[in-house]
Amino acid sequence: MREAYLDNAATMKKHLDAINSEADFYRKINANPLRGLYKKSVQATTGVNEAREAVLKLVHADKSYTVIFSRGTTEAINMVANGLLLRDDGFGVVNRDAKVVIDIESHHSNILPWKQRYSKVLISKDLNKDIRGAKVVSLTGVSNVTGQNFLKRIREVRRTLPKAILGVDGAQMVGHVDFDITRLGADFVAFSGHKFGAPMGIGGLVIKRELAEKLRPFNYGGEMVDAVSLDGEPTYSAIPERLEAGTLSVGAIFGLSAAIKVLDFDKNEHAERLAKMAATELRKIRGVKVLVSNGLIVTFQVKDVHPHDVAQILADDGVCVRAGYLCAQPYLEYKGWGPVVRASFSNYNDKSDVKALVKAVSKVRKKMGLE
Amino acid sequence: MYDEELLERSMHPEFRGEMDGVEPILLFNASCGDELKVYLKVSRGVVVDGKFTGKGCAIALASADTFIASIKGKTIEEAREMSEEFSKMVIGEKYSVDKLGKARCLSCVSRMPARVKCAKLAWESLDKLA
Repeated sequence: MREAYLDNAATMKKHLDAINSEADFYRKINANPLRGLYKKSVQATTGVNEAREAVLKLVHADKSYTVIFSRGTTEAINMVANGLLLRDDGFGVVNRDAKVVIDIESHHSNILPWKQRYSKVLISKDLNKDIRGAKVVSLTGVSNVTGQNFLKRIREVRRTLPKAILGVDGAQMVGHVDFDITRLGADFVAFSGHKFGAPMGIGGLVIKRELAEKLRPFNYGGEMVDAVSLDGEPTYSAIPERLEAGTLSVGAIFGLSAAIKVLDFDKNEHAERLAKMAATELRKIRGVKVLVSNGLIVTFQVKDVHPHDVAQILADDGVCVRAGYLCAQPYLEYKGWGPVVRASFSNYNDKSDVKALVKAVSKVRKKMGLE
Repeated sequence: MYDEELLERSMHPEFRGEMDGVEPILLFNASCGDELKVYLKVSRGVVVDGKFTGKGCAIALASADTFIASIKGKTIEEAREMSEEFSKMVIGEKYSVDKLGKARCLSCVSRMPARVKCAKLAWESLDKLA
C-alpha cells in the first residue's frame, strides 16, 4: 500500500543529503569537536562552526546573534526560560514575578517552560491589550494548529515594546518561511531541525549574543568551562560553548548543515497549493468540518467520530495524519474545538496524497457504522 | 479494523449513565481529550453495579463499557486480576482469555500502541477506588 505521509508538521521526511551527511560524519570523521588537535577533530570542529554559520544565514542573523545548539525547540525554550531567571548565581536578568506574556496559539513547549519557572505568566488572547509592562514576550511564529504565520504580529509587538525580551517559537517557521530575524528585532528564535528535513535531535536557539552572555547554563560539565579548581568558582567558556555542556550531537549537526543547503523556499508554494486543494475537497464531504486551513496545514473534524478514530481509520488506508490536541490544548479549548485531526503538507507530497486523504476521510463515517 | 462489538459498544454503550449516591471516579487522558466519570457501586467487596459518562474515542468508550460489563458481580480482587490480564492483552503480551470476558473485543489495541492509554482509562478507576 502506498503511504500518504501528511504529518509533516510533526516531522518532515529527512532529505537524503541530510541522512548521508550524518552517516558520513560517523563513517569518515567521528571525532569529538573543539578540544582535539588531530585532523579529524579539527574537521568535526569546522563542521560544527559551518553549521552555526548556516543556521545564522538561514534566518538572516547579523553579527549581533549567535546560535546555541540544543535537541530542538523544546530544549531551546527551556534553555532560555531557565537562563533568563534572575538568581544569586550571577546569571539571569528577569525576576520570577516579572510579567511574561505568551500567545494563546502557543504549543505546550512555549507554555510550560515559562509557567514552571515564572509566577506571572499570561497566556494572552489579545496581545495588544496584554503586553503592556511585559518583561518577556515569547510568541508563536507559525501555528502548528492553524498554519497561520504571525510574523506581522511579532513585528507589531516589537514596535510596541522595544525593550522587552522578545522571543519566537520557530518550530513551524524556521526552514519553512524565509524571514529576517535581524529586521524582526527578535531577541531569540528557537527551532528544530527535524521539522525541515534535518535529523531528529538537533535544533537550537538563535539569540542575541548580548543576551546569551547573561543566560544561566542549562547543563554544567565538560566543554563549557575553561578552568575548574578544587575550590572556588569555575571559569566558564565563552558563548556559545558555555551553554552547550557535553558532547554535541555532531552527526546531526552535519545533517542539519546539509538539510539547510538543500532548502528551497519557493517549493513551498506547491505544498501550499496541495493543502488548499485538500481543504476544498474535504469541505465537500458530508459530515466533515474543515475548522481552519492556512499555509501547509488543514485542520478538521468528522461529525460524531473522535479524531483518534479518524486518524486510526486513515492509518489503515495508509494515510498518516495527526489527531488530538496537537500539544496546544489551551488554544483548542479556547476555540471551542476540542481535539482535531490535522493533515500537514510538504513539498514532496503530490496530488495523489490529497486524493488518498480525501478518499479515506470520505469512508470514515461509514466505517464507524454511522452511514 | 475495529471489532464489531467494539464499534457497537462505543456507539450504544450498555452502561452509560450516572448513578445516584455514588461518588464518580474522574479519569483523564489529556493528550487525546478523553474524559470519563466512572461510577462503581461496591458492597462487601463486590462490584454490584457500575455506570460511566464522558467523552472519548471509540476505544476509550467501548473499553469503559466492557470494563463495567466484565467486572459487574466480581469482587474487587477479581476485577483487579482481570485488569492485569487486560493490560497484558492491550500491550500484546500473553494473557488468560478465560479471565477477560467481554473486554476481549479490545484485543485489536495490541496492534495500536498509541491507543493503549485510551483502552486502559476506565480500568484505571480500580486503582483509584477508595
